[in-house]
Amino acid sequence: MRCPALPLWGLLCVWLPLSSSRPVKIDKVTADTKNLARTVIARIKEHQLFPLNLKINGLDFIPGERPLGSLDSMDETLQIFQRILPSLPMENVPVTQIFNDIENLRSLIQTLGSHLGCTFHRSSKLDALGNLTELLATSPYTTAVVTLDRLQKCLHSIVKHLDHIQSC
Amino acid sequence: HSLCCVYTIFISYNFVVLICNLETYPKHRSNSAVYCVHKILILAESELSLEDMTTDSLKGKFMVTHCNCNGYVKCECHIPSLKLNYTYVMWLNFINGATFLQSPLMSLKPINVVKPEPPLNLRIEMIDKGELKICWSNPVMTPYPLQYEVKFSGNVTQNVVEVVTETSLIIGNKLVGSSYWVQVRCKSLHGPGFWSDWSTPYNLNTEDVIYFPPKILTSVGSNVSFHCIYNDKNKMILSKKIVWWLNLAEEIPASQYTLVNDHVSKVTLFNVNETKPRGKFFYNALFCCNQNKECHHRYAELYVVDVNINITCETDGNLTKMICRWSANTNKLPAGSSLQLKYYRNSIYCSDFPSIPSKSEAKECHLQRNQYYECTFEPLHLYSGYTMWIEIKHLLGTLESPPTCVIPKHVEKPFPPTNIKAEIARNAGVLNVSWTNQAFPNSDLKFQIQYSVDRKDISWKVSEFSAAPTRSAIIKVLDLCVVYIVQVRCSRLDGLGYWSDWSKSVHTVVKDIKAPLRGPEFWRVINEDPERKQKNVTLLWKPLMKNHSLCSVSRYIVKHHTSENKSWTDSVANGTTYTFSWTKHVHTITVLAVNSVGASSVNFNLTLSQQMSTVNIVQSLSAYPVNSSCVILSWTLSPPMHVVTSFVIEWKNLNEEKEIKWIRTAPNISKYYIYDHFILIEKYQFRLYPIFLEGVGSPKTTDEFIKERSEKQNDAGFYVILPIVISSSLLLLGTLLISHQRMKKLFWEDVPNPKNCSWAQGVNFQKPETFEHLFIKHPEAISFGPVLLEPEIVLEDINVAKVLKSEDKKDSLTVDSIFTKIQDFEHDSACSSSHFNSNNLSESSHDDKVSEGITRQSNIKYATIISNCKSSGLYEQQKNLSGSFKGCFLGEDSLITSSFSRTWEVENQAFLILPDQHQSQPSKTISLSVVSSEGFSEPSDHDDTFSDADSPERSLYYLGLASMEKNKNILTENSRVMYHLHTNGLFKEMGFLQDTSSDLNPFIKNSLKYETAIKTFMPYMPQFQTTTIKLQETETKT
Repeated sequence: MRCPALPLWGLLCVWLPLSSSRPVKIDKVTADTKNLARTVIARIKEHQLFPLNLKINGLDFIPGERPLGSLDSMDETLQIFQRILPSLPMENVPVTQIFNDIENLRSLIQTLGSHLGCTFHRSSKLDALGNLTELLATSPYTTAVVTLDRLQKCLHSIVKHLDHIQSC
Repeated sequence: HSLCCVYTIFISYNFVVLICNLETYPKHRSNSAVYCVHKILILAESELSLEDMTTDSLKGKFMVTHCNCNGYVKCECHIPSLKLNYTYVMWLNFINGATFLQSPLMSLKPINVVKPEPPLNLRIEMIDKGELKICWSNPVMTPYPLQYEVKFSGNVTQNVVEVVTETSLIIGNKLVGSSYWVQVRCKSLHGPGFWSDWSTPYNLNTEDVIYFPPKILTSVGSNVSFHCIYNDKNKMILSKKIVWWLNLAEEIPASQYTLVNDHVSKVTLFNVNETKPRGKFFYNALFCCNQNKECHHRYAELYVVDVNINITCETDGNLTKMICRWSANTNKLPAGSSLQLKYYRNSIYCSDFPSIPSKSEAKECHLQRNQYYECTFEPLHLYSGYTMWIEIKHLLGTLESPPTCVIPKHVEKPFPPTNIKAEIARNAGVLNVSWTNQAFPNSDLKFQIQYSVDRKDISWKVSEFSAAPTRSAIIKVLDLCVVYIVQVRCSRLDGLGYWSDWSKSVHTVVKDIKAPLRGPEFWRVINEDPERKQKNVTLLWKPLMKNHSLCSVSRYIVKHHTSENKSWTDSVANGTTYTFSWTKHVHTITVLAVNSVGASSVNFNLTLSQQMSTVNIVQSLSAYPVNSSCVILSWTLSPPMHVVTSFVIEWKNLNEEKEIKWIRTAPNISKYYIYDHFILIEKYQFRLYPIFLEGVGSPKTTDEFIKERSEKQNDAGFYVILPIVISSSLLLLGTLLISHQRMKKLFWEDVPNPKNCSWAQGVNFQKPETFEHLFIKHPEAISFGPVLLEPEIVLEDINVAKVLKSEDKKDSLTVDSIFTKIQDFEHDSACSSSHFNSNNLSESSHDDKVSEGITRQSNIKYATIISNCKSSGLYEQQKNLSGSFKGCFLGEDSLITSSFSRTWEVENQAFLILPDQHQSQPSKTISLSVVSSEGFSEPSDHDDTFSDADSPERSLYYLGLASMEKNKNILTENSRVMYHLHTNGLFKEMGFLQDTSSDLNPFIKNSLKYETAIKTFMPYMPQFQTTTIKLQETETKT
C-alpha cells in the first residue's frame, strides 16, 4: 500500500517548489541576457587594447566567425568558450569572471529557451577541441587574443539576435 | 633472535597508521640487542602468493616508508593512501648498530586489522513514552558497519555490558534513581578487527532530578519542550505533582504541562523570547519542582538566541566583486558559539521564498572595526541567486538565521561618472554639465547632479536626469556670475542597486556671458570756474552689479553729443568718474559699459542745458525721518511743461564734508524711501532734480526733517495712554459700585424681617405692589397707618430756625427723652419688639390720662419747633442727637447717605419744615418735627388717634413753623433732599399747640392764623405724611 504513494509524494515534493515560484518574465530574461552579454563585451574591451583586424588561420575550431541564429547555437557556442576560457594564459583579463559570466549567460539563454519550448544539446564541437592543449602550448598568445575577439563577436551577435527573438 | 610483528591499523580522518608491535623470541631481556625498524617495504595490489615471491623479485615494485620506533617494542609506520581491501606484502628492515636485519615477507589485508576510533557524543535522550535512551555517534571514517558495546558501571552494581548494532540503546526506567557511568565502544560488525577504545564516560545520574534535554539552544520564536523526572530522597514524585518554574521567579502555567507517564512531566514553552544575559548567565533556568514548592537545585538550561541577522550585499562598479556585510551581537550569544556565513548559489535568479538547502558552502568573513563582518564573493555570477544565512554553531546545536537571497547584479553600486565638466553657457545663461560614464555598468542609468554656489555655507540643490544619452544636462540657475560646485552620481534606471558615490567636485569659472544688460546710472556735479568762466562737469556713476554686467565690466565709454551735432567718445578704463568742461548750451552725455562680449545696449542719457536749469516744477519737498537707516522724501509738483524722464535725489550731511550721495528714481512717484545711515540729530540737505528730456531742471532743496511724524508718535503715545486712563476709570467706578452695593447689603442685613411685624401679617412682600402701597401715601387720608417712614423724610436735614426757651426746655427734655427712647429703639425696633410696643402702649394709655400738653410729651407723637438762632440747650441736645443718630441730624452739609443708615432709628420721627409766611424773615425757618415713638406697629392705636383727630385731648400735636424762602419746597440750605408737603383734607380740624415763647410769637401768630382761618394744618402723623399744598393755599388765602 505504501509503495504506490511514494512516487506521488515525490512528485508533489518536486512540484510544490516549482509551483511556488513565479514564472520569470521573458522580457526581463531577455533584457538581462543582453545586459550580461554587453557586460562581458565591456570586460573584454577593457582589457583588450586593440581590435583584431587580421585573419588568423588554424583556429577554426574557435567559433565566432558566423552569426548565431538560434538559442541552441548560442548555447553550443558558449559551451565551447567555456571550455577554452579556463585554459587561456591571460593574467590581465578576468578570465574566471568571464567564465562565470558565460555560465550565467548560458543559464539565461536556457531559461529563455524554456519559455519558448526550445531544447538544448551538448555541443558536438567540444570533441574537436582535443588539440587545444597543444595549440595553447605552441601559440598561447594567438589563441588567447583570437578567443577573446571571437567571443566578443559572438556576444554582439547574441545581443543583436535577442532584439527580435521570437522562436528557438 | 626472531622477531614477530603484530600489526594494528588505526584509521583516522586523513591518514592510516600501521602499528607494529615487535616481539622478540626469545624475549629480549637486555639492552645489548637493540633493533630499530628502519623501514617497512610494502607491495600493494599483488596477485602473487607469498611463496612465489622473494625480496629480489620485488625490487623496484615496492615503496618504502619510514617508521618511528618508540623504544624497542613498538614502531609506528604511516602508510599513505592505504586501501583497506587490498592485500599488502611487506617486510621490515632492522638496523641494530651496524647490523642490518630483514624480516621475512608478510602478507596483510588492512581491513582485517582495523581498530576504529571510539564512538562520540554520548548522551541520554528521552523518547515519547518517557523512557531513557542512550545515544551516540559513529566515529568518523568508518569504512564498514559497526557493532557496539555499552557498559554501565555503578558504584555498587557491577559492570553490565550490552551489545547493540544501532547507535542507541533504550534503557527504559530501570536505571532511574541511581547513578551510573556509561561508556560505548565499537568494532566492525562483520569480519575480524579490533574493538575501539571505550568512549569518554557519561555520568547518568538519576538519583534526584533529571532533565531531558538538560540544555537546549534554540532561536527566538520557536517552541521548546523539557522533560523532568523528579526523585526526591529515593521517592519518585508523581508527574501530576510536578510544577515548573522559570528562573525561580515565574511559575509556568499548568496548561503547558504534559504528563508523559506517572513519573515524567513535560513542559512546553511557546514562542520563546531572546534570553537576556544576567551577568554570566546566558540562559533561562527551568526548574522542576514539587507541588509544595520544593525544588531541587538542579535545573535545565534554555538558551534562546535572536538569529534575525540582516545580511546586506553590494556589488562593486567592476561587477566582479560582491561584499556582504552582517553584524551579530556576540555578547548575547552563549559562550563557545561560532558564526559562519553559509550560502548556496542558484544558477540564475532567486526563488520567491528562499530556503536553506541541504548543500551549502561556507564563506570566510572578517570582522571589521565597525563590528561588521565582511565577506567577499569574487568572481561573481552576476545573475545567480546567492541564498545566504548565518549559521550559529554551539555544542548544544546549530541555529540558522533566516535565509536571504541576493542577485549580485541587483545590488550593484556603480562607479561615479568621470570627466565632469561644468560651465555657465555663454549667451544661454544656463549651467551646462557633462560627464563620461564608466565602462560599467553599461545598462540604462539615471543621474543626479548636485550643485551649489561656492561659499562657506554650501546648500546643495539636486537635479535628476533619467537616461541621458548625451551624458550632459542643462540646469537653469539664477545667479550666472558666481562659481558653482558641481557633482554627479548615477544609479540604475530601474531603481535596483545603489546610487554611486558622488563624483569629484568641479568648479565653474566666472566669465562674461553676455554684454552688459545696461549702462551705469550716472549723475553730474557741476563746478564753476569763475576765472575761466567755464563749468567743469564731473560725471559720477555707480559700478554695475554682476547681474547687470554679466559678469564683468572692462571699461566705460562716455559718449558726448552737443547741440552743434558734434559727437565724440571717451573711454574710462578705471574708476567711475569722468570730468569734462561744459561750454555748449546743450550737451548730451551717454555712458556705456563694455565687457569681453560687447557694450551695453540700454544706457542712460543726461542732457545739460542752461535753459532747462531754470525750469522749476517741484513745488515742495519734505523729508520725513523714519529711523536712522531710512528717510522718506516727499514732493509735490506743479503741472510740468516738459516731460519728466526721472528724478535725481541728492543728499549729504551738512556737518560732514562727505561726498554727495545720489539716486535716480522713476518719474511717476512723489515720494521715495532713501536707505542710508542717517544721524538724525545732524543736519542733512536733500535736493530733488527733475530730469527732462531737454535737460536737468531746477532742484528743490530742503535742510530739515519734518517733525510731524515724531508728534504723531507722541499722539500714538497718547492713544496708548487714553485707553489705560479710561479702563482705570471704569475699574474705579466698578469698584465704587460694588462697594456701594456691598454697603447697601450690609445695612439691609440689619433690617429685620418685616413679616415678623404684626402689621405685616398677610402682606405679600413678593409683590411689588405691596411696596408701592406701603410707601406711597395712603389713598385714604383718614388712616395714617400703617406706613413706613419714607426714607427721604428721615434723611431731611434740619434747619434750625430758633431755639425755644422755657417750653423749649421742656421740649428739649421731651426730645431728649424721646431721643433716649429712640436710642433704645435702635435695639428694639418698632417692628420686631413686642414688649416695646406693649410698654409704649401702656405708657401711651397712661399718658392719655395725664394732662395732654406735657404728658403727651412722653407720648410718641410730638413736634419740634426749632430756631437756628440763639440755640442753647436744644442745640446742645441736637448735637447729642446728632451723635446718637450718627448723622441723621448732622449739620447742614450732612449727606443723605450718612443719615440713611439710621433709617429705622428715626422711623418714628419726622421733621416737618414749613415755609415761612413772612418773606421779611428769611433767616428763620420753621421746622416741623413729627415723630411718633409708637411707630407703625400699632395701627389700631393710630386709627384711634386719627379717628379722633379733631379732639386735641386725644392727640398731641407739635407744630413748628418757620419762615422759608420758598413756599413749595421746604429745604435747608444745603439739603440734598426735597421734602414735599402734601395737602390732606383730614387735617382741617387739627389743632395747633401754641407756643408762648416770645421768640416764636410770629410763628404763633401765624400758626394761630392758620388755626383760626383754616383750622387745618399739617398733622402730627405717625406715618409722617405731610403736606404743604394746603398750607400754601392757606397762605394765599391769608
